Amino acid sequence: MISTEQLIKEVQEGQMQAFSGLVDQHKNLVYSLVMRMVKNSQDAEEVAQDTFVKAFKSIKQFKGESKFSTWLYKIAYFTAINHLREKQLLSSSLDLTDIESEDSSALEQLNQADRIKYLHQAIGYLRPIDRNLISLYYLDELSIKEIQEITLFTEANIKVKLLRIRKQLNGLLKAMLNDELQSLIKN
Amino acid sequence: MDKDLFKAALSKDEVAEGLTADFTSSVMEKVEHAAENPSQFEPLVPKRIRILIGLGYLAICLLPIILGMQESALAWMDQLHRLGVESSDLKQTLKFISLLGFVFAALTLTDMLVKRGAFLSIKPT
Repeated sequence: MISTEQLIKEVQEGQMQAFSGLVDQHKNLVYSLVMRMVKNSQDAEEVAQDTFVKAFKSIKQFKGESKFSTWLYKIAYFTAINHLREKQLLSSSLDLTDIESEDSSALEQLNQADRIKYLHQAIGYLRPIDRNLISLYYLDELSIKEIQEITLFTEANIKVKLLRIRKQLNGLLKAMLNDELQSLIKN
Repeated sequence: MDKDLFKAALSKDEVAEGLTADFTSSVMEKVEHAAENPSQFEPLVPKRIRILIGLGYLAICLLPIILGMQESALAWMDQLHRLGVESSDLKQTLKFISLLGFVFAALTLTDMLVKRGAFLSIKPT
């Protein structure tokens, strides 16, 4: 199998077909990131395709100072943001500003399967940008520095945002579990 | 909430159905099209050059205003007048340059504002 570096070199030298190798190697990565943000498989595929076209057009500027995947992530991230902006979905979520909670005990009474279920539901209420931020950090296990390269937020800003998202999730979980409890009492 | 719990919850969202089989070929079609028609995707004058032109004209259009406030500028105009340049011609020229400058500055600013979305997606360095 040809390495990513070799494929990049070939594309930069003008061998367009080598780009299909890069697409094959990175398409799932790009699609996953985009899907997390746009939440619609058709749109995600379109945005993923646009990401690769943009990457192709600017591949000569890729100097290898960061990982190719990080560079591609950055293009995918901003392409997805543009898509959401066009569809005016960028801030489509609940207004979470009032439901932040410092207390992290919301899930303590539940078993592991229920914890995962409720946390998954709560994550669904986050704004696409926040959802992506915690995915990059917790799921893709990228460092703060790599997230900084992708999102262009400062390191301090990313840390603050992650803290805030966790607080919002705690608040959300509390509210969700409270509702659940109330409905159980009524029944 | 620990990292593993987050990972497990976020993994539930991971793509189950995946991409269509012809994803790569669709991308390559678009890529070939982009390579054949670069002008469709890239502006003829690069954005940085357009911004520089805009700023240049803005500077030119501000120059007479700054100069007009200076006594030395008046002396300078007097000097030109003595050399045979009609002050009314000079004023007309300066007005024209100012107008041109404002037009270009406005166009550049509008271009930047309208394309703010595209501006965000500029090629990463």
